[in-house]
Amino acid sequence: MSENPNPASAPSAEPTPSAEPAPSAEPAPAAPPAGSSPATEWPVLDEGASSGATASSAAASATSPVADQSRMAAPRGLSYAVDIVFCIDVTGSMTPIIDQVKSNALRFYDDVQSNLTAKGKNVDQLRVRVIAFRDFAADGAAALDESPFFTLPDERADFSEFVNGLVAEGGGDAPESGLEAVALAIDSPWTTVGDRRRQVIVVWTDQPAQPLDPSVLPPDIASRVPRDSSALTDAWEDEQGRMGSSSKRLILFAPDGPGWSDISAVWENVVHHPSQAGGGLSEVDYGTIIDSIGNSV
Amino acid sequence: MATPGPTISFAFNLGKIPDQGEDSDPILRDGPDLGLVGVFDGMGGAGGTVYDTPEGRRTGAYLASRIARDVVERRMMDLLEPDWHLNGKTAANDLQRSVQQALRQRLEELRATPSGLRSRLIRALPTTMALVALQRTQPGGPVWAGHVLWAGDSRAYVFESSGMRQVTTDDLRDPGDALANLRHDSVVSNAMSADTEFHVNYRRVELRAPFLVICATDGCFGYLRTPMHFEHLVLSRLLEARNTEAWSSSLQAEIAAVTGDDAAMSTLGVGADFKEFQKLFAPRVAELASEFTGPLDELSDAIARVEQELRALRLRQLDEMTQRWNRYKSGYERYLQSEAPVEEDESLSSADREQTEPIGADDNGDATEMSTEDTPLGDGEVESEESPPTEMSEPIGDSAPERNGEAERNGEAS
Repeated sequence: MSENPNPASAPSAEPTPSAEPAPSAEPAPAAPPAGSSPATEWPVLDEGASSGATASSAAASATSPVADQSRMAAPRGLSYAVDIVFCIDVTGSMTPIIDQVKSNALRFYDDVQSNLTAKGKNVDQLRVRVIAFRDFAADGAAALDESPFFTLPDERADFSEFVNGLVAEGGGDAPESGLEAVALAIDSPWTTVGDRRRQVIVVWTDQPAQPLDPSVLPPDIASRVPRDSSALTDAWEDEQGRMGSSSKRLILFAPDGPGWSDISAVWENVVHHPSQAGGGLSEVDYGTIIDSIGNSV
Repeated sequence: MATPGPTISFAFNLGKIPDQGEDSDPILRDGPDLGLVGVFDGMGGAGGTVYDTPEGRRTGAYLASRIARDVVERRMMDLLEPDWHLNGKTAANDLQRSVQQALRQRLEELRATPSGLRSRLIRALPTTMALVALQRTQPGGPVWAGHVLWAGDSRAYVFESSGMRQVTTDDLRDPGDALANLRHDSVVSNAMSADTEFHVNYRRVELRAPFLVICATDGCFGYLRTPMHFEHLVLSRLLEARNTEAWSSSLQAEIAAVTGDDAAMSTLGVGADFKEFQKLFAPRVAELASEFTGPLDELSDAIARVEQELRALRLRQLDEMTQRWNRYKSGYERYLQSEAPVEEDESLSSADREQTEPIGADDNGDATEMSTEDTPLGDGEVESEESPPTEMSEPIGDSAPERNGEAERNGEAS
């Protein structure tokens, strides 16, 4: 047998094959599909030899005795844990949109949860926490308002109460202390349980970010924040750091400008929607973001 | 005597959400001296963007896996012939060009509104591929060339009598071995898509019949505890099945029970019939159970038992603490009950009584009695008036939200 010296060339102007019809609930033959096989070169196995040559293009729940098997199989499955930290700009300029951002924060968890459960991923632990930020240069210690992690759904009322209690005020002139908030989020006490984890930071702001400046920070905050943007990048990229190398995601609803554009261009695992705190986000893009979190675990 | 060619085969495609499975139906083709098995996993995390199509709204992941499958199958039918050795590297380049062109064309046809998102995580029409093309090297002989072509983290395996071998290398940004990849859940570094460059990997392996070739998306193997469990699952179901169809059904049920993703698998057996494969792999299943999965499962079971016992003990501790505290509490709080009458001890002389007269009186003249046996509060302890004891059944911890920075803010709004 020799190498084929002249294989048929790749199609250059053929129409693109369309997507298959939706899978049906009935098992359907997969090999060969009608109309696409030169039967003389690819004789199908005769009936006796290929007794099981079938494909089930069906929902698992529709074709499989899952309930009968799950008791036996479940112990070998994986467990999931998801932590989400919301960094919310609560300076005065956010006043017109703060209610929408609060609503988005409360909705975000529900949508991630739905995305996960739709694919049968049983999340063993789902927690959220909030870091509300202003501008340390203008507001001093009042520039930060942190919650602990709330375990959901048990502590949903506490989570809602904290979010609804946020008031947009202060902040001085733009920009704001968004990078400090991201640094504190990275420094969160992330979960260590679960075979697979997803650690998500979501930022809503309508302003660029101040450069990191430890001199304007209260001592207890300064000790938790990197000294400059390079150190902050290292903290995000650090494979041995607080966040897992593969499990972290940063979602930015922030305008193009100092701080955010650099992060968007350089950091891994970032999804950036350049906007005033998510304004103008289409449903399609929102769904894409939720899928980038829930569908990749 | 000629060695048999492909003998048994099955393929399945399990969608977690009915009608929205993002894996395509697998490729499964065979002839006397050829075989072709392949799977395609539309990447939901990267390709969650929804498009309007004549069939309804579909994600990019859903569309991509099906487009790639159709193109790859058609190209491989042209490239793979019984009488010619396949040039694997040429085939890999051919598939890369063909799929890229088809995906780009489809993306144009979809006329999607440009996304407002910036991210290297998100791609247009992304899909993985794992494909094995088999060619017998000599007419009627037992040796086969396995041409392995892949992009992404779907896998191809070869099952020989001595065990399962992975013949693809996962395209991951943080690559590790198969066990590490299972745990790290790394981002895929190379996958077919319409808007990013990608390559198709190629590896050639030489296989001696009998053997099984399996291509699988990560929904099949990625939700089991170890690669050893995947091998044990596949082979133990083979041994317990009556025929190929029952083997496939059993595998589907087991995978559906644990997976958190769509799952597609394509399987081809070469050089032995069903019963012969059962006999071939029986010693390996026993070895896996005794040396690998069995001891690990025993440990997992032991941990589960201990955790269950620990949970039960903690509940019992809480319950007993509450019960015993309630028994103890009435005496402990004897003098804290403001309404409780002070028992007169008639044996006390008036002088004695005088000594127990109020030793501390508040501004209202109410007296708090302290017997000589009472212990004063230590440093740092806080005395509260009428404050009830902490309910021991309540969770301990700072469940109340912390609020820093409640100081009044008068700064100018930005």
